[in-house]
Formats: sequence, structure tokens, C-alpha cells
Amino acid sequence: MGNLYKVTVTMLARMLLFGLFCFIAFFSYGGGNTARDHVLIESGSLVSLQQGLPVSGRVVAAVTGEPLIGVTIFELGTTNGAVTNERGEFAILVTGSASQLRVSYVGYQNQVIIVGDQQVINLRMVEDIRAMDEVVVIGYGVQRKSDLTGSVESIRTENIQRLAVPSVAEALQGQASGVFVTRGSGAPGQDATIYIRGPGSVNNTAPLWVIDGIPSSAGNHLNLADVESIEILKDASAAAIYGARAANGVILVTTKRGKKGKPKINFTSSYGIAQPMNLPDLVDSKSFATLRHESYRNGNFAAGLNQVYTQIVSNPDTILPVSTDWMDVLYRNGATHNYNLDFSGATDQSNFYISLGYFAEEGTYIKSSFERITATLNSDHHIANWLMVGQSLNLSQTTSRGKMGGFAASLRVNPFMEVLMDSADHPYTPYGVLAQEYGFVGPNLFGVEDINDTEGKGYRVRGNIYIDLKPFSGLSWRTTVGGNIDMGRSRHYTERYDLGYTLSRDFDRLAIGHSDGFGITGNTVLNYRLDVNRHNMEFMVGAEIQDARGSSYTMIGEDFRDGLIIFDQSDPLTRELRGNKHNPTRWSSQFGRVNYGFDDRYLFTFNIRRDGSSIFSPGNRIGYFPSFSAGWRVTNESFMESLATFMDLKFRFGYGGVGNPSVAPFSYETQFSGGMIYYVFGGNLRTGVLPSVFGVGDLRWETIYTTNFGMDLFLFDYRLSITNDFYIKDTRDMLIYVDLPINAGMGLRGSTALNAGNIRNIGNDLNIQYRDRIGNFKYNLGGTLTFNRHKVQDLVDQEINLGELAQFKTVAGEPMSFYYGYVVEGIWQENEIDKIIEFLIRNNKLGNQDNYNRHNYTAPGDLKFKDINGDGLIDHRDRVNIGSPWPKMVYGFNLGGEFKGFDLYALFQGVYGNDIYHLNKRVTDNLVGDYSFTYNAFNRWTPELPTNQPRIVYTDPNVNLSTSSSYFVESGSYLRLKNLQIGYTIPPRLLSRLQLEQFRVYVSGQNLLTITNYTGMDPEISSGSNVARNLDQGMYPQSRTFMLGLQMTF
Amino acid sequence: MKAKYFLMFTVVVISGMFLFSCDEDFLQLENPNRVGEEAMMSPSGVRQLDIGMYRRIADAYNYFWQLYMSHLPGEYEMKETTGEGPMHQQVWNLAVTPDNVFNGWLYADYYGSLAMANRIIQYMENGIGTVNELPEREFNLILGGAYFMRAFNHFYLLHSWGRPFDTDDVYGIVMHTSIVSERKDFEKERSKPSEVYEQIEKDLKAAESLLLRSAQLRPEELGRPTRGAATAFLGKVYVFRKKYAEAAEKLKQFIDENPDKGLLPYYGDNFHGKYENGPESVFEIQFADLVPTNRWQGGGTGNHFQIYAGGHGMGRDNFGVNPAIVRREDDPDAIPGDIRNFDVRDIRFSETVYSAGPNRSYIFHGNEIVIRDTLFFMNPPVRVRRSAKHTYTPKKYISNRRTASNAGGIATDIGYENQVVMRVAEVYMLYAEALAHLNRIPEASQWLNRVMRRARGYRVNEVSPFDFTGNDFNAFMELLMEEKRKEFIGEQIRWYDVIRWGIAESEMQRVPGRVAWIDRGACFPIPTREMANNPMMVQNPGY
Repeated sequence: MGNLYKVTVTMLARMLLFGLFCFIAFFSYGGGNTARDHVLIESGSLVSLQQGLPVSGRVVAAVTGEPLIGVTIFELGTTNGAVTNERGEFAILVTGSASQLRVSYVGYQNQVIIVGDQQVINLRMVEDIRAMDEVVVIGYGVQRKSDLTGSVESIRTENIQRLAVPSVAEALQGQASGVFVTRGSGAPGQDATIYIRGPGSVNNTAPLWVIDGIPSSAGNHLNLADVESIEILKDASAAAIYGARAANGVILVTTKRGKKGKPKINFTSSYGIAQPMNLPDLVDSKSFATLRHESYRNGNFAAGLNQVYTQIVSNPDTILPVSTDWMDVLYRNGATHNYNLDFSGATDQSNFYISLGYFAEEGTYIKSSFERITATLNSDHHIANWLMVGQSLNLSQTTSRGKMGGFAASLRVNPFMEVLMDSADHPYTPYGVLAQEYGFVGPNLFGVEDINDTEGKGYRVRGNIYIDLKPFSGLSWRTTVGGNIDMGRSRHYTERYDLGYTLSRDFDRLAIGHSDGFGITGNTVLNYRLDVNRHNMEFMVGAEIQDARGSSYTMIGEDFRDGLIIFDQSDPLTRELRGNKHNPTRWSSQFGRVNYGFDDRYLFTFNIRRDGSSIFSPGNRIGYFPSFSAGWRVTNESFMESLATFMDLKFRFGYGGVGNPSVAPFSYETQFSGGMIYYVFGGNLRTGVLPSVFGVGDLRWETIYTTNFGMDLFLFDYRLSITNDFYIKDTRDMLIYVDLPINAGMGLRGSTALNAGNIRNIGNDLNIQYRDRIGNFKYNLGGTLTFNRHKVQDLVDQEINLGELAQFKTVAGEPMSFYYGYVVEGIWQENEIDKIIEFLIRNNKLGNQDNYNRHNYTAPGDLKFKDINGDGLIDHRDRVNIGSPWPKMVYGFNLGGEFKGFDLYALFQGVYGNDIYHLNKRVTDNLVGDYSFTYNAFNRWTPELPTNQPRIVYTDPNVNLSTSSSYFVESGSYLRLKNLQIGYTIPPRLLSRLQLEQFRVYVSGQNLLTITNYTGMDPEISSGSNVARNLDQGMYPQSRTFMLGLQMTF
Repeated sequence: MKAKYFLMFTVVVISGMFLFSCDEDFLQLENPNRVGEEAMMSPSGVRQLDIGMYRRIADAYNYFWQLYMSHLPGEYEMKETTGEGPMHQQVWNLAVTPDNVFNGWLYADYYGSLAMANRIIQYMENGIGTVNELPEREFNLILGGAYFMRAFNHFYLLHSWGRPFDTDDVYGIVMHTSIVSERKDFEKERSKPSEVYEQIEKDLKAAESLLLRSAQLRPEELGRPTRGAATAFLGKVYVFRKKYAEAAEKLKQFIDENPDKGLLPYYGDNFHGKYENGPESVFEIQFADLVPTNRWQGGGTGNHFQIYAGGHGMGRDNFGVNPAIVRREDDPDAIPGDIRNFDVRDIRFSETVYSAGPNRSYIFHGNEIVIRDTLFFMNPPVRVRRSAKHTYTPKKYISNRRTASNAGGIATDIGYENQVVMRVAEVYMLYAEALAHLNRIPEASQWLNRVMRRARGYRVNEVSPFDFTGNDFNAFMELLMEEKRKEFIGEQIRWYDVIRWGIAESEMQRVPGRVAWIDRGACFPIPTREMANNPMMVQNPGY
């Protein structure tokens, strides 16, 4: 095996070398031709080397009359060509009056003009809005959109590229139907999570990313500005070409290449100010004392604990020396920076694209930031008419700093604590601490950030090289070899500290982490196209192998004497090596596809992929993933000719199966792991092993079968387009971790992976776009609308219960991770004391075990739980489904307009019908533990003013708030103005003197407006796994960003 | 153009190789992180399983086992109402819920160790793989150790989660004597206590025949179970099963066969690492300061006991020793004439607790109180923060040596002392109990008196005024039960005796603040995870 790996790598290396050799060889071999071509191209626009007819003219846009710069004019059948200058003018020598000129410009309809006897040809170009002729990237190839039979969504990148977001994933928010994207928090550099057509599994449901043809991960490493196009393969008939990894959809990203025309330099920059959104308004010292005192009193705490607060409450005139606004101390206005410079160009033989990008987010929490530098180099070269080579290379470096804990931690503050303070009691550090009399255990968070110096760096090199052969017309054979190298380094240094009586350490500590990953992918794809009369056929066969491996470890050192921070390898007490993990996987796949079209009316596609994966047990490594789809272009039927409104109408049907390998490699076998398993005999250290995986021997991937009914409709001169897809998605053999009983010897939480579960998702994706113009005013409106609902159909006598309060439950017959708890039917009132006592007695008498302390200390002001089964007791049998984290509907709509150089773009995005478990309320409104309050806590129930908000009780002795109940479940529906942009493009005629082709300035805002009833910080939440979703324990706040930007093209 | 065809041919051939790359051998990857079952069937594999087996038990003893078990007879108290406090309160109130994670962890540690023992026994008994290449001496030590540990785990599982004294009831435990690999192995019903006992006795006899006596152990083998440990444990099991004749025989055998074993001259030397695996030790869980232990994540070779049990300045001050249980007769709060009072001469009092009580001098020093015991000057002065929550904090297994500064990066509140499971004093007292039941009280008193003399500063062979000299069974047993309590406070021996002697109800009444005795308190509930995933399991009565 090791040998085979070596052989493969050697083979790939040789191919690369051979490719390079070919590149050089054929440059010189075909040298004659190439050189001549170059001269001719230049001659076309400038000087004539041969006899010809001079033709000149001016090209303008039909609607605005603005000159168009960079329009290419080619004489058909020759190599003569020209490009318009900044005034839209061109000059060309043509062979004669019978010559035909092809005039083309991106975004406009091509024109072919017969020269005739004209010497001056003035042209008006008409914008091309016929989307059906667009070519879209599908797996291992491209296809005209009109020929598609699967469900593929193409994303228009020009709008989203102006967003200042760290990840490509986030930019997809609201852009595509059937795609649900959330950025879980506002932490700098935060990646977004994506669901394509609902959660198909309890496991990982992230889609497969394929960047420039190589399965890869985008994360926050990929620069949005380098992205040319994004295609999302949503249904199985489209995605099956990616087989065992495509169950959650595939996102194909193509990066930019140079375009024909004169070389261009693009520069874009934006700077923005980010405000933290909806920070909780924490109470001042006096209010804190009042509330804290009340909560102690309600909790029957000994007087000794709260004498400070008692004193303040009993002397309302006390002037308090300290009242720290911790939100003010810990949060600030952040900033975003985004600068991109690219340089691109193309000739007939070659094209190139080079870019440099810098992106930075300065977090709104003190000391937190994210920074990324990217560089890209892409090129393609036609070496001969039968040979083409090309490459992509992308380098990136990311740096993240700061922010120690979750957001909930930043509520663990006390206004009586000073930020900084001089004290002899705290010798190491100047941070304010609280005396024990305050009865508050919590660190000085400013100090925590100050003493901790954390930095994570990620480096990535990703690239590929291909050779494309065209031995004869119709056949192309492309072989691509790509690889990625990832490196991560983290450094976490903590000074010795004293942050109060529970938090101190009198020695320094340094942890250094290292991780590396190396992946290599090779694929070869043979494509043959045959058009015979009205039959169009395309055959594709290909194969792919992939090998990925990586490792990681952490080193920890402590107590650096004399401030010397080095790891002394010889001293076992100052260094510790932790975790050394490797995760190798290999894939070997073959695939094929047949497209058949008859008369542009009947379209068929058949895909099949055979996937082999090292993740699964030897008998289960190979899988076959077939899919079939068909399309009917109704508008090409003769009976439709009379219906002029219908420009294009196509019905699609598809069915196929794809896989999800979401289980750790080697989970099928029982394994032992060493490391940190020590015992001592005779004073000598011995190391041992313990079982780490309980293997059942028979694991295979989960398979998702999708049936898709789709329709593409274009109306009114292609101005209105409607795409709709209805789907049924069935997950079979879902991989779940089944709990083991403890006697199996795998510990308290031992589990084993099994294929044991089925899920069904049903949904509908709708995408409507309309574009038109009124005079000089061009506008477009569009929207995406996604409905999805899912149900776990089978879970092999399992229940998955998760959460601190077991508030997430997954069982057959319900959606995943619904909220499970008591129904609150109000608040116990003063006049109900008798009922409370009655309840207590009944519960205690019957020895109600599972809730032995549920009602002790219950008093008026507490939540009243509903006795669902009417047995007079409140116990686990009264817990029911109290909400679902999954939206019924996800939607987005955008509007854009252009008028005399001004442009406007707005994107709204929202979800409807989901719930959020707002656990943070327990902290901010009710105080369970040592946290601060928001002013909302004053709305608590009191005997004098009975409200609907429970009373405040220190530590919640009767588990009133520390149990799962509908009090915490709130609607999470929202509508958000995600992006609003207003720009102005300076007219080209003013720019020509500056040698500029384009100059645009814009202002933009992100997250400007949110409409929601949710009372927590932010309804755009994505926390937890698919079986423990949307628990709002507070998060790094999202930001409202105001940006100023600039785009320039030379 | 020849070059064109040559190139095309080459590229096509090489690319074509991808198409035929579907060899399954390519997918056969070695897992570099971990090792599978077959790798364990070798000398080095078995050596590693052996360490894993002891590690799981060290994990059980590492955190809270001792604290947890000490709540039951009312020895240790926890005042916290947050964090882990409620879980300890549950023990105190005999109201442990099945989802109490400490309960779950402990249960899991015993079964974890048991699974390792079964692997070792199955491989070695059947000579699977290359395990027979182990040298004979090592082979016997590992295999004998596995038998000993299998008995050990079954014993503690049975006594903590079963009702061992109703021997023909269903409330034994799920017993495993082979590797658990399939569903039918772990979906298994409880064996009867008598069946578990049979297995324990069988395993201890097997261990006895394979293991070496402590005097025969080489220095690098110290800490391994010995033939003596197996013998003594078997004696203890016989006492528990009221087979007093066999018990007396076994315990006598231990005493005779192990002339190197006896009581240490000074009681307190048992707990502070001075004589680890020494003359008084029968079996100990090994801890050491070889690899630093992370305070909250474990790992390393240290012992977390000190974090929780150490008083302020030495640990987290989470646990105190119940002053009502550990009280000297000169304490103003003591009930005069109560047999439970430690008499003034009793060294064990000041070796069990750090206290601010009579006969102590105080020096106030900033935030700290320095306490010096004026009666026993050999005790080092103790520094306690003024804010200490407890009157008495535990002293057994608490190190003094790291209170001044942290030595070389070792956190000040991590302990590194071995945890004694069985020591000679217990053997003597079990032997005395067995002899008393055989109506050989004068002989029995000899062994009890040895323990009592040492406790009061006398030499073990020296006649003392505290000696028991009568011939009355009841009086003897009353004294033995009380002496055993005082001797082993905080050493997780008491509760099993309380249940065995049937004195739980009266014991509860004697401890202030305890709930009334509830029958379910005789054992812990089967943890939720076990109940939920083993359909054959039945919950203990009352839970």
C-alpha cells in the first residue's frame, strides 16, 4: 500500500514534469505559428502588413449612448481583430467588402456585420439578458444553461463581491433558493454554515466545496474578489457526479481568469466601521445591588453573604464609588478593511490573472481581530490547436487574535468591580477584583483579555495544473493534478495573574499548537461531443484519486523562570505534549455521464459514479451513485410558437442517489489510543492504552435519494425568469452514534457509530428575477423563496437527548432537535400558595424520583408548569414538544437600479417559522448564578407588581429556570436588510484623460435593519449541531457595518 | 508531427492510469493514530492494556471516590450549593439520582477497568497472538494482576450498585468475564450476588496462584497487586460473606506468609507518601509527580483529591470533615462519655483533620492563620486562610510539601500521594472480627489491641491501658466497630461495613443533619445511561 502511494505520487510528479516539458517543447515547436499570430493581432488595430480595406467606427450602448470600451471586433475566418478605445472608437483592416465582422462585448448580444462598402461603421450594442445561453459549470465540465436537466443554481457574483465578509459562504446568504446560510456570530473571521435543501442527517450537513475542479474547503481562506462564478448543485441528479460526498449538495467555485481585450488592472477597496448590534444594557451598581439583594432574599440566603447589598438597599442615598459599564469596557466599534488589486489579460494564445487581496476585520470585542492576505495566479495557454495547459494557484494567510470565552462569559461581570485598581494584595497585575463580601465569583474580563495573548495563524497553498488534449474535433481529454498544503499555528501565552479570589495562577503558561494538512487530487476526464443532425450527444468518462493526510499537536509549557519563554525538552515539568492526531483518508473514483438532446427539445442526462473510500470497512468501501434526469423544452415545440410571451419554458425531472461519509475515518474497528494514559509502578512511569472506538465492523455511508421536479420559465423578452424546483429528499442508512450502556466498558458516554436512521426532507425552491428599464432607468427585482420541512422517519429505538437541560430531543416522527420541555401556563400568584403546597406534598408523597427537588422552595412568582397528563404531578411525563429550531421558510429578495451613473442595490434576507431557545434570558433577566442583569430584570414578578416574568432567585434552588420550559422558546423569525449599497460611476468620457476605464465609488451598509419579535440579541443564530440547534446562550454580537468603497479599472 | 502523436500517446497512457486506479489496495490505509485489537495481542500490547486497566481505577480514585463515599457515613461534608455541590448533597441525603454524573463516572471507571482485565485474561489464557513471548515472571504478574483487578472491580461494583447481602435477589450486577464486542454482550441482565461472589472468589484464587509475595517484588514492580493482596482480599470477601472460618484461615495465611507486613509505628505515616507500598500497605492506587496533572482536565500522574479536600492554601477548601463525627473528648461541643469521641491520646484525630480547636495555637498572619498543634509538636504548623469555610478540613493524603510555593510548575493544589485501598490495620481488624465470630475473643483482641495501641502512641507489642481484655462478644464488637470507624475515616471502608453490619439506620440518627435512613440508600442507582441502553437492566429498588 505504501508502495502504491509512492508510485502514485511519483506518477503524478512525473506527469507534472512532463506537462512542463511539453509546455516548453511546444512553445518552441509551434513557434512559427504563434509568432505570426501575435504580429497579426497587433496589425489589426494599428499597422497593416498586408493589403486590406480600412474600416473604422464607434460603438455605444444602445440605451444610454455611452461609449463602450474594450469591445472586440474580429473579422470572421481571419485573425484580424481590434478593440475599442476609451472613446469607443476602433479601426480595423479587413480583407474585403465580403468580410464579416463579429462584434462582441461581455453582457451584450454579439453582432455580425457584413462590411460591404461601409468605411465607417457605428454600432449600438444591445444588452444580452437571455440567461438561457449562459454557460454554467457542472461537475467535470460545463453546459449551456438551456441544456441543464438537474437542479443547478448559478450565483451572480457582481453584487456579492462588494460585501465585506470573511467567507464566500456568507456571501451566498439570500442569493440562492434552497440554500440557507447563517453566520453564527459576529466574531472576526467567522465562517458561515450552509444547509442546502434542509438538514439531511444528524451528522455534518455541510456541502462539498469544489474549487477550480478540486474538492477542497473554502472556509475563510478564499477571497471573494477572486471568484468568477459559483454554481450550486442542489439535487442528486446534478450532484451525483460527486458521488459519496455530495449528499449535502455541491458548491462549485470557479476563480477568475484573464479575459480577451487589453490587459486590465482592477483596484477595489473598502473601509467600514462596525458597531456591535444589540448589546445588552447592563444595570448600574445601585440597580445591581437592589436586584442582587432581592434575589438573595428570595433564595433564603444567609445574611452574611449579602451584607454589602443589604446596606446599599437599606440606605438608598448611598453614593457608590464604582459603577462600571462593562459593555462599554469590553466592546468597541470595530472596522473592516478590504483591498484587492488584480491584473489580468489575454491573447488568443494565453491568458493570465494575478491578484493580491487583503481583508481585515477588527472585532467589536476588545483585542479580537481577523486578517487575511491572499494571492492568486491563474493562467491558460493554447500551445497548439490540439493542446492546452493551464494552472491555478492560490495562497493565503490568515491571522486571528483575541477573545477568550463565549459571549455568555462577558455577562459574568459585576458593576462593583473596577477595571483597574492599585492594590498591594494583587502583586502581579493591576486589574480590579472584588472583595469576597460581594459574594460574586467572576473574573475581571478586561484583565482576562489583557493577560492572554492568543494568535492563530493559518497558511494555505492550493493549486492545480492541467493538460487538455483535443486529438480530434469533438474530443477533449483533460488531466488535472491539484493539491493543497495547509498549516496552522496557534500561540497562547498567559501571564501569571491574580483576578480575584477564585482566579489566580502564579506562573506563566504558554501553549503552542501546530497542525498541518496535505492533500493531493488527480483526475482525468474524457469528453466527446457528437452532433448528428438534430441529435446532440455528449459523453464523459473520468476518474479521480485523492489522498489527504494531516497531523496536529499541542505543546504546553509552564512556569518560565526569569521570563525566559522556551521549551526545555529535558525538563518534564515545563513542557507537555498533547494530542498528536493524524487523519488520513483516500478516495478512488470513476465516473461517467451521457447527455443526449434531441432537437433542443428533449434532454436526457445519465450520471454514474463509483466511489471508493478508505473511511469505511473493507467490505463497504465501494459505492455506486447513479442518477438520471430529463428535460423538456416546451417552447421549442411547434405548438408553442404562437405564444410569444413564453420565451423559454423547460420542465425537468431528476432522480438520483448520493452519499454522506460523515463519520470519523476507521470508526468501523475497535481501536485503542495511547497518550496521557499513565500509571506508575515502582516510581517508574508506564504508558498504556484504552479503547477509544468501539467498532461494530460494518459501516457504510448514508445515502440520500432525491426526486426533483423543476421548471425554468422565461417570459416577456427574457425580462422575467422563474425557476421552481420541488423535491423529496430521503436519507437512508443514516450514520448515527448509538449510545452504549456503560457496562460495555467505554466510559460514561461511550457510543458506537451505526447506520441506523432515515430522514425525509420535502421542499420547494423558487427563484424569480425581473429586469427591465424605464428610459434611462434600469432596474431589477428578484427573490428567492425556500420551503422545507423534514421528519426523522426512523431512528432504530434511539432517542437523542442533548443539552444541559436535555432540551433537545430527536426521535422518530418529529423533526430533529425539537425543543422538549414543560409548557408554562403562567406564574404562580400570591393567592395560589395553597395549590403550591398541595403540589409539593403530592410530589413528595409519591416519591417522585426524577424531580425530587423540582418544587422544593417553589413560591409565588415562579413559573407554573402545565400538568399535561393530568396526573397531579409535574414530572418528565409532562414534557412535550415546545418548538422547532428549523425555519419553515427561508427567503431573500434583492432590488437593483441604475440611473445615469448611479446605482443602487439592496438585499433583504429572512427566515420564518423557527424558534430559538433563549437560554440567555435566564442570565440577563433572572440571574441564575453570578452574572449581571439587564434593566429588563426589573420587569420581574413581585407581589406588588405581578408581571409575566418570573421572580429573581439566586441560584434557582427549585430548578424553576434551570429546567427546559416554553418560557425560553421564542419565535426566531426575522427579516433583515442585509446589504444596502449606493454607488456612482463616473462617466467614461470624463475618465479617459486619466487613462481610467472605470471609476466607481459607493457607500454601503450591512445589517442596517432587522424586523423581529425575538427578544434576544440576534435572531440570526446558528449554534450547535443538527441535533442540538439554536440554543441562544449569547454570542459574539453581529455588527452593523457602514462602508465606503472604491472600484477602479485601468 | 511525430512529436504530437508521441505526446498525445504518453498523456493518454498516463491519464488512462487514473481510470484504472480503482484498486481496493489503494484504499487500505493504516490508521497511524490508534491501534486495533490485533495489535494488542502481543507482549507490548498486553503491557499497555495492563497499564490502561490500572489507569481506569486511578481515574476513579483520582477525583472524588473517597469524598463521595465519605458522605455516606457522614464523615466528609460539602457546603457548596452550586457546581458539584448538589451532586454531593445527593449522596449525603441518600437521594442520588440516576443522572448524577459522579455516580455515572464511577460506574464507568470500574467497567472500563473490567473490560481491560477481560481482554488481558482472554488473550493470555488462550495464548492469542504472540502474548506467550512474554517472560514467565511478567506474564504471571500481568495475568495475575488482571484476575485480581477483575475481582476488585466486580467487588466494588457489587457493593456500590448491587445489594450484595440479599444474595439470592436479582440485584447483583452485570458481570463480564470475556471481551464485550457485540450487542448481546452489553445488553445483559444482572447476575445474582451469589454468582458474582463465586466469580470474585474464583478470580482471587487464580490471582493468588499467579502473583508474587510483596517481598519477592523487584523495585520496578512495586505497586503491583501481590499474592498477599489477593489473599487478604479473599479474606475480606469471606468476612463479608460471613464465612468466618475460611476468612480466619485466609487472613492468618496473609499474616504468616508476609512477615514483612505489619503496622507502621506512627499512624500518620500512612498518608503522606513516606512509606508508599511499604510495610503496612496491602494494595494501593499509585500516584506520583512524574507527569504534571492538569488541574481541570486530569491527565498526568497526580491525584486531584487534594484540590477538593485540601483546606484553603492547600486546595480549594470544598470539603470539610464533619466536626460531629470527628470530635475529641476535650472539645467543648463533645458529648461527654460518648464512645464516638476520640480520646485525648488518640493520634488519629490530629492525623485525620486539620482543625482550629482546643490545644491549637494560632498565629494570625495577614490573611492566614498559622495553626500549631500544641499537643503533638511533631505535626507541622498549618497555614489556613482566615476565610476557610470549614472548621475541620481533611488531612489524610493532603501534602504539606507544596503549600509554600509551586515546585517546578506543579500546581500547588494537586496531590501526588498514593491512595491506600487496603492496609494491614484492616487485615488485623477483619481477622479480629472473624476470630470473634468463631468465639476466639482473647485471640481476636490481640489483633484489635495492636491497632488501638498504635493509635494512642504505644508500641504495638506494648500493653496499654486501652487494651480490650474481656471476653464479651458484644462489647468486643462494639469496640471493634467504633475503632474501625476512627481508624479509617475518609478511607472509603466505613460505608460497606455500615451496610454489612446493618447499622445504617442507627448510624444515620447519630449524624446531625442526616436524613432518616431510607432502604434504597444501601446502594447507588444504576446510572441513566446504563438504564437507557441496556434493555435487560432493572433499576435498584427505591430509585
